[in-house]
Amino acid sequence: MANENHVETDVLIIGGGMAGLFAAIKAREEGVDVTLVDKNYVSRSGSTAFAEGDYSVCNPAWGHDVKAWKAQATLMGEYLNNPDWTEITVRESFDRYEDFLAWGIRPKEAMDGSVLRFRRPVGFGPLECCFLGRGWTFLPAMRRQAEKVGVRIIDRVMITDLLTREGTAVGAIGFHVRTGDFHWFGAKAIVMSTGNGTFRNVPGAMGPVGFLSYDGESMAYRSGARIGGKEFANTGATGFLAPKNENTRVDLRGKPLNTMPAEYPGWVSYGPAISFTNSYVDAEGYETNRVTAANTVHEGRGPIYWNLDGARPEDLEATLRDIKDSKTEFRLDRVGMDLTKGGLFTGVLRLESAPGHSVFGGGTGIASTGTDCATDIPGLYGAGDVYNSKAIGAAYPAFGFALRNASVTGARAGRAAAKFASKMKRIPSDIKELPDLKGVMFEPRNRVGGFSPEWVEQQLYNLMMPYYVLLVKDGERMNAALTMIRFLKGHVAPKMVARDPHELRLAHETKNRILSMEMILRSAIFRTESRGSHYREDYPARDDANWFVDVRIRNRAGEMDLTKEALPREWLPDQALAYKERYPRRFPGEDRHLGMLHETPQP
Amino acid sequence: MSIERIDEDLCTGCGTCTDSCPMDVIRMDEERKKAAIRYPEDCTLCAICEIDCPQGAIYVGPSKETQVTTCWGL
Repeated sequence: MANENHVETDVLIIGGGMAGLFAAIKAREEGVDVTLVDKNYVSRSGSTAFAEGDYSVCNPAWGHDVKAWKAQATLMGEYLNNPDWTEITVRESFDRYEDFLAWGIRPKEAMDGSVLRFRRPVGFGPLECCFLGRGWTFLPAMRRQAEKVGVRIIDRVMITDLLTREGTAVGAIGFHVRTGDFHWFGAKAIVMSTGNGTFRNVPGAMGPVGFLSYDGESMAYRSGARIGGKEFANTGATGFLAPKNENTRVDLRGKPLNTMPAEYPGWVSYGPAISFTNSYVDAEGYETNRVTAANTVHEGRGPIYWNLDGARPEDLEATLRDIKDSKTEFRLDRVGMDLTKGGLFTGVLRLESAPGHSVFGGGTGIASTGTDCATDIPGLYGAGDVYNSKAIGAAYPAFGFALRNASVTGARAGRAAAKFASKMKRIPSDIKELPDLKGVMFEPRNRVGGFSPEWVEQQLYNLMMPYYVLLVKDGERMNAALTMIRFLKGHVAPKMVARDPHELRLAHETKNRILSMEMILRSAIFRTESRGSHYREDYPARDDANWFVDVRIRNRAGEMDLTKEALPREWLPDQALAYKERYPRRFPGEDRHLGMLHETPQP
Repeated sequence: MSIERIDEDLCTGCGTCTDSCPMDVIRMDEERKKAAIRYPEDCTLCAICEIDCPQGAIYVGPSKETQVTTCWGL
C-alpha cells in the first residue's frame, strides 16, 4: 500500500520552470506559505531547462519603443493578440530582467562590457533580445532564490488532477514518480505552470522536452476551464541545441546542425538559397516557414536542400568556433561529419513529419479571464506556456517571447494567487471526490493486462506526426485522424497498464496527450480559414468576416463543446487596407482561393 | 543508443544525474551505490546528465533507435 502524504499550503504552484519559479518567488514575497511541486527536479525541468536563453527585453532607456514592439507582435500574431497582455509582457519584461540581475543571473556581455543586445536581421522589426544563457545554466540560481525566500519545493511528484469544491480550486492530487506514494495538497489558491506539450519518445522532437505532456490544460479542462488557441499548436522547438536531434530546423544529410550562437545573425538569413515556390518564408516565425516547406514536400518537390553557400565567411567561422567551444550541445564528434573541412555545407530540411505540437509564449492553453492570470475556475491561476494569455496571437512571433511571457505571467500569477489566498479563511480539507480521483489515478497500476503506454504513444505519433495532418491541414484528413484519436481516448487510454510508478507517470502523460490531440484536431477542423501557424489547404486564406474569433473548448458532460468567441473589430487594422497589406505573409494556394471567392457567380 | 554508459569506475554515486534527468531514466542502484541506467527507452538525448556529471562518467550517444512496440505484448 502506497504511503499517503498530505500538504496544506496557501499557494500551490504546479510546475517549476520559468513561470512556476517566478510565481513561487513572487507569491512567497507576499508573505504567504508557498509549495512548488514538479514531476521532475526543479532547475532541470520545464522547457525552460532547454531554452536557448534568448530573452526579449524592452527597455525605453535603451531606446526601445513599447508601441512599436507591441505593433510588431500584433502583426506577427495576425491580430489575435490580446492587446492588454501583449503590452504587459512588453512593458514588464524589464522588471523581470532586473529580477534576474538581483538573483545573480547575468546576461551575456558584449565586447565593450555592456549587455549584449541583438536582433535578427530580417523581419523582426524593432524587437531585441538579450541572452541569459542556456536554461540549464541559470535555473539553479532561480531554484536557490526560491529556497532562500522559503518556498517549499517538492520534486518528482506528478500532479494528475485538481481538487475543486463548489467550482473553486482547492487542491490537487498526485503521486511520487519513483516511490508511487500518494500525495495530495490542500491549497487556498493554485498556479498552473506546467508548460505545454509534445511527444515523448521522439528524440529531440521539440528540443528534448518529451516530458511535456499538456498536463496542466488537461487538468483544467477536466475541472471545467475553457481551453483556447489549440488550432495554432505548431511544431515550434525549444532553442536547445541537443546533439543530433531529429529536428525540423536544419538537417545536415540527416545529421542535424541546429545550433547557432546567440549573437549569430540567424540561420534564416541564408533563406534565399532555399527555393520555395510559395514564398511563405521569412525570418520571423520559423514555425510558419515549415508550412511552406511541408507544402513543398506535399507537392512532391522535396526534400529541401538547405544551402549555406551564401553564408558570410565570418559567420561560418563564428559558428565553427562556437561548435568547438561548446562544452555540451553540438560537439563536433556528435555532428556526424567534419565541419572543419570545407567549411560550407548543404543540408536537407526534413519536413515529412511534424515531430510535436506546442506553442510557446501564451498562444494556447487555459483561457485567460484577466490580466491577473485568472482562469474560469476561481482560485486557479495560469502562467507560462500552459496559459492562453494571448500575449502572442496566431503564431509565435519572434525569439525570446516564451521566456519573457513565462516570467511576466509567472510573477503576476504568483502575486494574484497570494492575494486570493490571503482572503481565504482556511484551507478546505473535506474533499468528497478525493477517494474517487485517487482510485482513477492508480488504476493503471492495478490492471493485470492492457495496453502499454509506450504502444499507445506510438499510435499517437503515427496518427499525428505526418506533415499532412497538422502542418498542411485538410478537413477530411483531420476528421479521419479525429476518429482514431477519439477511439484511443474512449477505449484504449482507459485500458493502459503501468508496471511501476515510472510507467504510471507515462500512462498519465499519454492520457493527457490524447486529450490534447483531440483539442488540437477539433479546433483546427472548426476554424475553416488559415491564419498564423494554422494552414488549411482547403481554406488557404484569412477570413476576417467569419473567423476573427477565438475558438474555445469546454468540457460538457465528457464531450468537447467548441464555441466561437467574437473579438473586438477594432483589434483589426483598417479594413480599407488591401488584404495583402493587412497580412503580409502568404499561404500556399491563397491567391487562387481568394480569386475564386471574388468571382461573383452570375444568376 | 541514447544514453550509452555510466562508467562505474568514475561514478562516485553522488546522485547528481538522478536529479538531472527530466525523463527519469537514471536511478541509484542502492546496493552498488552507483547510478544506473534504468529506463533507456525514454532517453531523449538531451545529455543534461552528461553535462552535470562532476566526474565525466556519463556518455550520451548521438542517436537513438526507436523500438517498435506491438499491441499484442507488453
